[in-house]
Amino acid sequence: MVVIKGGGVFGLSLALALSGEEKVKIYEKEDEVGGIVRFLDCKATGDKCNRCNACLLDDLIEEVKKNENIEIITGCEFEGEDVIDATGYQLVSPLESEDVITALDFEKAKGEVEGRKIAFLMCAGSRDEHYQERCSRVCCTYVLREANKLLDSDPEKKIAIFYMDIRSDQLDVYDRLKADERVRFIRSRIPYQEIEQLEKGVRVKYEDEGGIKEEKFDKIVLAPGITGKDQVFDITETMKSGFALAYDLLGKKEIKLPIKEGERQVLAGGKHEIETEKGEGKGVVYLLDDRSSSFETREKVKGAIEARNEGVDVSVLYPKKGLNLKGEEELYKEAQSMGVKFFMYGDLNLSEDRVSFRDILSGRELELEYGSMIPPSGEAEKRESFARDLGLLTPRKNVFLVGGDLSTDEQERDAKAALIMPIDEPLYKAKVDKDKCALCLTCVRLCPHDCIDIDYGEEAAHVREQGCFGCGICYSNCPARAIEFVEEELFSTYACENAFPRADPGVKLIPCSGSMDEATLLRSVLRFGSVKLIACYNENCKNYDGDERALLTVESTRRILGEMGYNKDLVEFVRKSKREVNHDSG
Amino acid sequence: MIVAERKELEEIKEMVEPYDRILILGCNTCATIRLYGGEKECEKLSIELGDVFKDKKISYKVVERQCEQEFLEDEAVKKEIEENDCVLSMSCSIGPQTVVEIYPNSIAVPAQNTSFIGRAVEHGIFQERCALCGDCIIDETFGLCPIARCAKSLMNGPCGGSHDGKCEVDPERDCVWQLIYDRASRLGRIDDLLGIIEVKDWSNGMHGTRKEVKHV
Repeated sequence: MVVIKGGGVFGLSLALALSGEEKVKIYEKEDEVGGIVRFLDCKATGDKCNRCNACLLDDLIEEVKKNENIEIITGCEFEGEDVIDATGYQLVSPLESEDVITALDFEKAKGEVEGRKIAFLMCAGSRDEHYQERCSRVCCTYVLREANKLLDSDPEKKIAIFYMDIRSDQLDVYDRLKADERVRFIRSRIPYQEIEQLEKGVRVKYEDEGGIKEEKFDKIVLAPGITGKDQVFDITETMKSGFALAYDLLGKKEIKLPIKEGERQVLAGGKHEIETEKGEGKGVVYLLDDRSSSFETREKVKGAIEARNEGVDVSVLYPKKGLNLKGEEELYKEAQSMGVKFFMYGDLNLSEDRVSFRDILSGRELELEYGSMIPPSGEAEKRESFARDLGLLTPRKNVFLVGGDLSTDEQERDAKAALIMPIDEPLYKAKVDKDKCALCLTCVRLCPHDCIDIDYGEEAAHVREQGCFGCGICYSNCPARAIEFVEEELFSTYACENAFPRADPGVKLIPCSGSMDEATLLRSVLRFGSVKLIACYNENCKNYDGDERALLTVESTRRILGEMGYNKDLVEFVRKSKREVNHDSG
Repeated sequence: MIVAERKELEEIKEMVEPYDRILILGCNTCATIRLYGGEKECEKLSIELGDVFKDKKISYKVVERQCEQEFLEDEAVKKEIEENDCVLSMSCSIGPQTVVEIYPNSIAVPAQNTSFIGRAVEHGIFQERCALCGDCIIDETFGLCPIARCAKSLMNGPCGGSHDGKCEVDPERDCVWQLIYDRASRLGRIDDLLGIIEVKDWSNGMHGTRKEVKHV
């Protein structure tokens, strides 16, 4: 039997998921299950559902109650060990007074607040070193929905939304509010000590582009920080393997992912140029644009820190939308403390060696001379890093991880993002010489993409072209040499194109280390004295077990070399990742 | 399918040492499919021998089936065999024997030790399934051959050396009598194993008989 402490959405969903195999008991200290979500108000405006999903709770509760394997005990707090702690999240609110309420209070009041002038404060208690440094992730979305609902129920309301940057994907609601003249978006953070509760209403002082302002509001709604409990996630490790897997997916366990051409240039190229420009004392400018993902931003800020370490003058220019460093604010702090300059730019003008722009925060026109400029990444890279941001990428080509997020919105967005990903077309595709094929099934058994089958009419193996990823594993293993692939030319180093970051005249990039065969390795040893094969790290292989096949090939080549009386170490097998910064050229 | 294992390079070197022009002859049937004598293996061996004997002429060719004289009598194959001093056959041992029968003046040596008849249990891993005993009894053992797969070729097993389903001869090896027993119990026919399988006529197989079958 499993005991779950807490009957919120997490506890209920978990109970349902476990009820197939176990009896489950849920202890809820309140009189009703449903947790905080119980208080959430429907955000529909008119006939339009804004997909807040609050109503799904009723379905969930009904399903749990119908389930015979689940017993719910309410009004009782469970004490003891061996329970799954699902006691939910807490709000981190910096202040509260009569007219300063949290968004949850707002929900509980069904959005009915007195007064005409209402202000929403985003990031109240989040992204703030005195409260919670990280972003709570959902606040922008629900503030947008709440504001939208408020205007709909009372058209007389005037709304001000104070924000740092908007990270919500609720673009339709955002666009609607932005176009509405009753709504002001103010990019500013009101200092908490400047929020003064009056007899009626609240007076605040804040600074925006136009300077310091004072204003009175009837009500202020805070979007407080949300903090979870770490142990909620620890329990999954003790659970059955099925859940551990789900945890891996949800936890988006970090995989060493190889990265694409454009980003690689940003990283490798950026560093290279810094070295050449170092003596001239000119700085490096990292440029971000509106569509820079948090992955791109992170990599660029890391690059900036690295460059700064070399003693170079480094500036990072980011757009008005903000510095997209979701969850990695400490990186920003580190960069700042090292002296990397950050500018929020408007009216950008780029020329060959200088960039001029308006520094929005100070209002000055600035011009920077640079030794090298790292531009925002291009369209394809943007798409990939967007997908990376969402945690969609897997090490496999054209395979994406969708649906790891809890809300249907996010799942839908993930699916759409996966759909726009460019299909990775291989340079080479395997082709079978029908006369030579002996129908040995080697390729059928080894193809990691399951795209070879037997054509009984032709009496030969048949490669389904659309499925071929061009890894060459079939080519290197075909005992009849019936598979045509890349033309052979001998080199002293062969590297999987996903493992080795750049073209190098001494290195032959091959589609997968698994495409290397013993004969080629042997010939290379005899020609050059030794040979090196660079493969991906185990979990990085885009062809499932290409690196393992490569290792088998290397072992078999070593055995042959041993037979011939040569030193077995003449064949070197190295694992690398494109993302490793320090690499030698072999 | 016939499974063979390539001989050690040392042994092959000794066999071909006296000859200057060596033709490595692959076979496109069992030898290719069982990964011991197809074009890829021929290529590898030619690189090895080419490096060991730098002044010998080493070449390779693959024929459809070395056990069929029609494929060996093909003009191109005939030319190659006659131009070389020695044929190093990569097929099962039927290959070199067929070569010398058809070309009485030629020398053919085996590169392989022909091991057994078996199947690929997974890619690259072959296991014996038939011992060529000439008197098949697998109808009585639910389709599993104890002659080929039991270390003692017991017809009424298992013996006392069967432990946890493995054979005492090799802990990696399944005890086939355990497999037979498991299969019988799955089929609910365990009583069928109570009978004794009679001694069989070994003169039909194994050694010492001249075997010929007519299918005409």
